[in-house]
Amino acid sequence: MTVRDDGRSGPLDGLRVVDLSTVFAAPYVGAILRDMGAEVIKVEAPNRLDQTRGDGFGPYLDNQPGDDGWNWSGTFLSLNRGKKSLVLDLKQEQGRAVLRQLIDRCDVLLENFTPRVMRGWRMTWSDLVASNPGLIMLSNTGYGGSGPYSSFKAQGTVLEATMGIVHFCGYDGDEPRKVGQSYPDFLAAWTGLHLIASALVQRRANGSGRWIDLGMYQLGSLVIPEGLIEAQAGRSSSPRRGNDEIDTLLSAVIPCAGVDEWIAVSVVDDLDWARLASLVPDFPKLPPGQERDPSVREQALAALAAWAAGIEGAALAEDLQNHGIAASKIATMRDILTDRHLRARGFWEAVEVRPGDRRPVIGRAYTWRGRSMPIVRGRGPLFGEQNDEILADLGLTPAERDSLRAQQVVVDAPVRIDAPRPADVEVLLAAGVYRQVDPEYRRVLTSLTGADHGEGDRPAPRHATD
Amino acid sequence: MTQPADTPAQALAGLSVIELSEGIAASYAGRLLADAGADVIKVETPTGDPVRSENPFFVDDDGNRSSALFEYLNWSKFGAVVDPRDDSAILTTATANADVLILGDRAELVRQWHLDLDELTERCPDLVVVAVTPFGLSGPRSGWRGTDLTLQAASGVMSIGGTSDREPLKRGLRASWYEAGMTAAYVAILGHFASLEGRGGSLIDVSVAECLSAELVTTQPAYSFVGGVPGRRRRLQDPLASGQPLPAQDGYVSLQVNSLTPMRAFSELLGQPLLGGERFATHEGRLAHAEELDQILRASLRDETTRAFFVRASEAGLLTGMVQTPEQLLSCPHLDARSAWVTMPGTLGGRPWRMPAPAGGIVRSRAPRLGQHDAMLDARAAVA
Repeated sequence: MTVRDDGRSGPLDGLRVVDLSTVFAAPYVGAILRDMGAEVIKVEAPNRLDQTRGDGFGPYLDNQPGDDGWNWSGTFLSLNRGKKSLVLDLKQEQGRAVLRQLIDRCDVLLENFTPRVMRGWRMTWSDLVASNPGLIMLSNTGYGGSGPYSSFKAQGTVLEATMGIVHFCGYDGDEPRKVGQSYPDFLAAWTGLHLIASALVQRRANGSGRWIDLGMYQLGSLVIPEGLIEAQAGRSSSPRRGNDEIDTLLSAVIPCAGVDEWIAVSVVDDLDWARLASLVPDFPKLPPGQERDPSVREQALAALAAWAAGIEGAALAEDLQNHGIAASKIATMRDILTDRHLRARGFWEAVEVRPGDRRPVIGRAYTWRGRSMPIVRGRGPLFGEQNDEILADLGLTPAERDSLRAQQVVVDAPVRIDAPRPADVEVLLAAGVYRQVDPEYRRVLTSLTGADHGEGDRPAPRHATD
Repeated sequence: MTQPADTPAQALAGLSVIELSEGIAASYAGRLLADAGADVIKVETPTGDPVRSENPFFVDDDGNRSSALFEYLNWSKFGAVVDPRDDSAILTTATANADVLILGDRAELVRQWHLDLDELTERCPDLVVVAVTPFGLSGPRSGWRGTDLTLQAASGVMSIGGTSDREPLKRGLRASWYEAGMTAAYVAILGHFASLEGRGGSLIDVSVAECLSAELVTTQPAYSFVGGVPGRRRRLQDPLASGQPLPAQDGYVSLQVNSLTPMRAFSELLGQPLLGGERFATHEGRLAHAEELDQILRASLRDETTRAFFVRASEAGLLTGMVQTPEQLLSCPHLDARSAWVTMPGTLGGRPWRMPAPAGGIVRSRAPRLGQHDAMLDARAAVA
């Protein structure tokens, strides 16, 4: 992994983004726009931290929050990489006046307040275009700016159920189950990016901006079209079928060597079936068309399980893939961080969190070759790190800045925030949130980032009291 | 929905796109570009995209039967047929004259057209090429096959899917491919924007597995900051942090607390003082008393009907959800008010049918018949 500097030209060089958003979806949009070369100014509140700066998200660097843990939260630093931070009290008229100046000079505005907030401040898109006709504004809300649910609060965690996704997730015949982490936020991020991108192209042609009213609720339908079609065709089959895919003859997750190690295998067609039958002892050999028989399925899975037992997952997957069969180990976080393939593709990028201390962050889902290209351009900002730089850039004199600080319109440290507490790792382990804490993580990171973490294999403190 | 005079349906008007694809991801990317006004020619081999034969079929006004999913993934596009074994010269010229080229969904399908993508991007310095394949076109796993299950497995997202007492669990249906299509669409348009700005074209190699891995941006810091390897939660957990649905009278609901909507708010709403107790006030406390919490919540929700509870809790300002079926989504008053659906041609299962509407709301034309617009590809190839 290489650390690339900020000098490289990006596809969106020269654009300025003002980011009022918090938590996952819209901040991630801002992060990618920054990777693409735009300047992104995150505007934060003095007394209400972005939740990702705080306890419960984190985790704090090496689980040691110190006195200013909000500056060292991994989730925040990752989702806000490369941005600048200005802390402004938008509850005060003067704070909103500064914001208006910033918005008048920006190309893209990101926000995820419930709809009444921007209306209350007279900062709807219609208000803002009066002085910035080319403004592209993304409003990322739970339900969108109109409709009967519009004023309802939402976060991805509960929306995922309402959106229709969770109905299709669960073990065979079992209760619905949420899978993964805040999936709706990512659907919103990718959708927001494509709508912003097309608005940018359109603005080049006609100079006019656009309001993007992105209600996350309606994005769920976009990833379950098969379910919508089946339901309307009147053939509602069992919605929850575990790991049995809808378009393969046989697919399953089976245990392999090691503790809690698994491999996923998909048998797409008759050719795959025949390949597997010649590779795996006791795998049923059948004329085409009989594979979906339940007893055949049972025999096939038993044969696979017996064959896989005692063999390491990565080796099994390699073997199956060499025989042309879709398979993969169930990769853990450590697996993907140390994965040769992802490393070869530059998926992980390193950011210098503190001088000399580089940590990996997720880059993007593609390689991009061209004269301009996206890269991660540094860690997320400390709280208010660029207060002076941004205000000076707006033309505010030192005296004016002092005055804003005197009235706490601008602050340099959070106001009335509880002291950050380290995560209780034992509790997270007991709940399964972590399956293990890797005592070698610093060595692994060193090998990934080339940074010297300096403290050998010493694990992070596991308790608040350490 | 408030719209300025220029709608998203015209944002990419005049953009010339060629899509060489079979399956879901690249087709969906091409369709998202067509939704924004781009002129997309989908090029298929003489046998056609296999999705054309995927069940169920709808019946159009002329009595013709075609795949519902194919119609959804390919509306507003033009269609042409090229036999890669015969003559790919037409593609060499037509792609050189296009603004954006999209290829997918498998490496061997990308290669079958005999287009040297490196050479193409060098010869056409403003062209944007986007390929979508399971693991990308470079790297040691570039030749690997991928299905929805095995891609989720490889991506890392399955290591946190399901419960610790059972095997890891995938997300349902074929969501991975749609997510990859969304990613391919945004990079294609950003690439085109850069090209318009005089920054040249680009060759963008999207990996479906990496689209899913990119979701781990919020869980990955657990490892890089404290060495925590995220796992599958216990069956009994803190549903107010995880969003795990809980049974109500006629379905399932989900509840969430955060710093703004604390536990006592649910205690008041459900009229259950036990929930407001100190032991459930924090995530750690709820984990430590998970069994008791589960019993109280299940008992409190047993007589609630999902929609009524969802509306009542949401109106009280609480974070709440309900597990909805496709039928419920299709009849949801909010989605109707938002014009979230578009009426599809003909009938499905004997009745009119709807699918998620495009941004901008306009479907310009039916999905193309195989080779319907061959002449248009010829014309594209003929432009000097």
